[in-house]
Amino acid sequence: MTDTLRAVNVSKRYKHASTPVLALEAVSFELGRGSSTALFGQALAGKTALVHLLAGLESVSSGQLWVFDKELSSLSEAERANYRREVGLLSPIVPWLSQFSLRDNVALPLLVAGASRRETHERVAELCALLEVEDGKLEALSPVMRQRWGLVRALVHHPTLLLVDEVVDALSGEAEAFTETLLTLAKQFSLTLLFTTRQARLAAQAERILTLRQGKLLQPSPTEPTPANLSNDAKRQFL
Amino acid sequence: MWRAQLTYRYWRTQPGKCLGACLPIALSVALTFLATHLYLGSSQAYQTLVLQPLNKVDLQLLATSDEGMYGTWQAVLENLPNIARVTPVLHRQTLVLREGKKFSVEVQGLNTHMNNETIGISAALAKRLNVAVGEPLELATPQGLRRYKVASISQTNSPNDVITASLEEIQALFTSGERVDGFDLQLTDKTKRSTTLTVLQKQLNGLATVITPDKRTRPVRTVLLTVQNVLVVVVVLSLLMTLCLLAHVLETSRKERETERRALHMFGLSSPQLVRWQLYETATLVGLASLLGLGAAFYFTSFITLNDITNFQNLWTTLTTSLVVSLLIMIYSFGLVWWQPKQAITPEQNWLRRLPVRSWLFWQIVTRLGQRYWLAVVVLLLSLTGLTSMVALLTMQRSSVTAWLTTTLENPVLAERQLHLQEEFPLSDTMRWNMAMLPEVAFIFSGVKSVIMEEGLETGLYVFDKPSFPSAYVQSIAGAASDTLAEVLSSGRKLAVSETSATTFHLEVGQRLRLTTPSGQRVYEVAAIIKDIPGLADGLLVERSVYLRDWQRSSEGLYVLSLEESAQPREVASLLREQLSQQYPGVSWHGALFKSELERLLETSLVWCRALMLAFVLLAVTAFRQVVATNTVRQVFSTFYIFGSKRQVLRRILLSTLTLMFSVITSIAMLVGTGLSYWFFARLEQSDSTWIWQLPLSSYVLCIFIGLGMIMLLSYQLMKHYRFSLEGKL
Repeated sequence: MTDTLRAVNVSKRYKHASTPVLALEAVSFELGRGSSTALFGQALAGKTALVHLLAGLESVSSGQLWVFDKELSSLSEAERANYRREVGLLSPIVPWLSQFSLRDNVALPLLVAGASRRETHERVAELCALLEVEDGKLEALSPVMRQRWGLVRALVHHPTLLLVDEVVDALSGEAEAFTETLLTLAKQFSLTLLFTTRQARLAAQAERILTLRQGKLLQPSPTEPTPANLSNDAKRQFL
Repeated sequence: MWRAQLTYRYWRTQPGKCLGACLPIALSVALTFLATHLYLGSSQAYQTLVLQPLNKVDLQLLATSDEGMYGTWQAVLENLPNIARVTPVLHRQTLVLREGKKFSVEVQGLNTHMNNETIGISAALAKRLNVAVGEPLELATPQGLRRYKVASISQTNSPNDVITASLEEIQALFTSGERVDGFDLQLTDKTKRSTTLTVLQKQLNGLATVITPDKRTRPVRTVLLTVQNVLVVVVVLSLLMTLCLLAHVLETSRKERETERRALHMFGLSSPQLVRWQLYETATLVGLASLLGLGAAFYFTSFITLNDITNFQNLWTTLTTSLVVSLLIMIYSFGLVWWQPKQAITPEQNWLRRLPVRSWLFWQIVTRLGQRYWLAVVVLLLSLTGLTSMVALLTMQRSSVTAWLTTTLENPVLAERQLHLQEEFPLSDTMRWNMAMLPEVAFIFSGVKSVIMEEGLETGLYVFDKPSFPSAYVQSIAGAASDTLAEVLSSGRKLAVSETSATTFHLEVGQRLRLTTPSGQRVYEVAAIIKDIPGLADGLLVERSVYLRDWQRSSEGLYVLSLEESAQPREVASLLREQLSQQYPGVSWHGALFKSELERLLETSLVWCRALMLAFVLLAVTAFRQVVATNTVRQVFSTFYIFGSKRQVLRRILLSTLTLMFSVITSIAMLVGTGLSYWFFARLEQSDSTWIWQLPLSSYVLCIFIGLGMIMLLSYQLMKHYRFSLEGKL
């Protein structure tokens, strides 16, 4: 069993009308287990495409994508579905079901994983207390509270990989605090965290930054220090 | 585990949709169960109550010539192979006069014990003429008016008003010479009927037509088939409505279910797993709804005890039919939704178009039908029609069957606690003793050929076997009060007379009576007067030892078993039939109808009607909800809003319009429903058209009450449905 999350020349093409769109081109990187990584880039850089690949929602067009001991492109549909139970995804594309209560919504991943009612109830209660979420109707929640609930849903089924896409940027003034929460939780639950952002100052909070531009990963030099090693001045210079 | 939990959570949050899907399914399964049960039960009842009493006549010969056949043919027919018994038959239409009024009747000449001055009449005629045993009647004959005394009142299977008299008397009055209209034949071996038929036709050479019992029962069979066809139509209609309503419920929840499936896919369910979950959910929903339907059906039929042990087969058939319907609904429901998980996961692909052509067409048809408001309106109308039909049928049937029961129960033969066994040959002593000793049997007596008294008067002689004749039936008795009737009658030549005989022949206790017996004239003493027991209304009763000594076992033919209070007549009949059939293969029970069973039959039909009423109410409400949820009705509301009406005025306008609209619809449906019920019931009863005006006022009031109730309920539903949107916009 490997302890790395590794992409080897991963490319992803989408068919948009009759013109194929190259969302990712020969992306290669390696992340350690338990690391916190920011996926930095502007709009249409390919961040969401990479997150979807890592979440097991889509398959690579070429290349190999290893998530610890699983090579995602070689998985069957059933195996891919099983893999998704190990991933926590906090993203706007994960729908909230209006016919269910908030607690029922966040319990769904755990139910799918086969937990009993008691286990589900206890786990949800534990995370709700930890994240200090407030009950209520979904449409009446503040953006931060909604994302906290989303975080409960992403963590409820004991994932090993936590992916956060298009969330922190939408929180405006609360973004830094939320990012800090993400990092704290990742450390607490020994998760491998990958979050996307367009804001460099938020990206700087992570241990590692992967920068995407027009589907290509900008490779840092081996000697280039990672943000965790930089002094505050150096960080400001980077930003 | 996760399937059950997910299914439970969805149902808990969407109880309305769940009920909307469950109730039609439960209804269809329940109706299928009830209809199948009634279908099989009515077929069996037809066998037992109609065919079996006719079984004594396997074939009927009717003379082709108006002059009839000579009575001498009887000897010829009796010598033919496979002919067990030949009974000459003579029918004539004539008039009977009573209190200055004329009544059309059918006169039958039979070889009975009646003398030429007495007649027997049917119970229906007795009620019509308001005549009792012992009273006179005048009969119009070609020889002029003839006066007869009514000696007995009996139940017949003929729908006509019937008078029975001795064959010789009717021949003398209505025919020239010893002619008869035909003969009733009883076969030794019923399986060889067709062979016997061939021999008969050859022998008769066109002199008579041979009629089988099937032809005689055609009218009853026609009614039975009509009832059964109506049952099938009810089941098919309910099934059709269920399928349409299911399609609607599934279609209206498609969008939110798609979102749900997409989410579950992201959480780790593959497409096949989602499809399997869908199957699980469908099977659970249909299964639970079917159980609910079966439970309701069982409850409604639980009190029916007309069926004996052989109806276990009926129960199996009924259950199987219901389960087949349930399975069909399950397959249909799953067929509507199995592709939806795939569509949810890959929405860019139109899975409908990728389905096999037949599935695609099937889906298009059922969902479009389910979405159409006009279909819901049709369903609503049909439901209201069905509802009012049931109400009308309920009241009509109650009044009609009550009247029939009253007529039937006045017949002294159809008593509550008796079994009549008719055989031309006496039962063995052992068999008779065994029957008499059954704990369910209070006492048993058998009928003998008529006995001639002094002055040529003729009456019936009965012999009783049970050692203890119930003292409750004894009106007065010679000797000490503690003496039983058996003790009194077995000492010397003593007999008991019925109240009617005592009145008719002016007899009293202690009086001596000379009777002509096979061994000569004998003098008897009247030792007791007993109350008119059904079947023994007119006759003399002797104890068996006296009978054996003086009448030497001559011509016992009728056995009447009076049962104890606690005995179940049908069970005793089944038991005795089983015992008797071993020695007497052709044995059958005559007039095996019992008051308790008749009342139970009435209750069954009443509960049926109530169950169907409830079913139609549920269907109407469900269909109405579908109507109000359609875009067309929403547009009507929007139009009102555009005109800027104030809230109060708007509500008044809406309520008035709706009330008027649904009043019209409900009234039309009620009229149609009542008309249908009347038509159906008139066919069933073969009655004329005037009786509908004889319905009690309460039945019309009930119809109107239910109609108003439906209007209020439907209007409330509509206003409640749109109250939020109205308040939101205004």
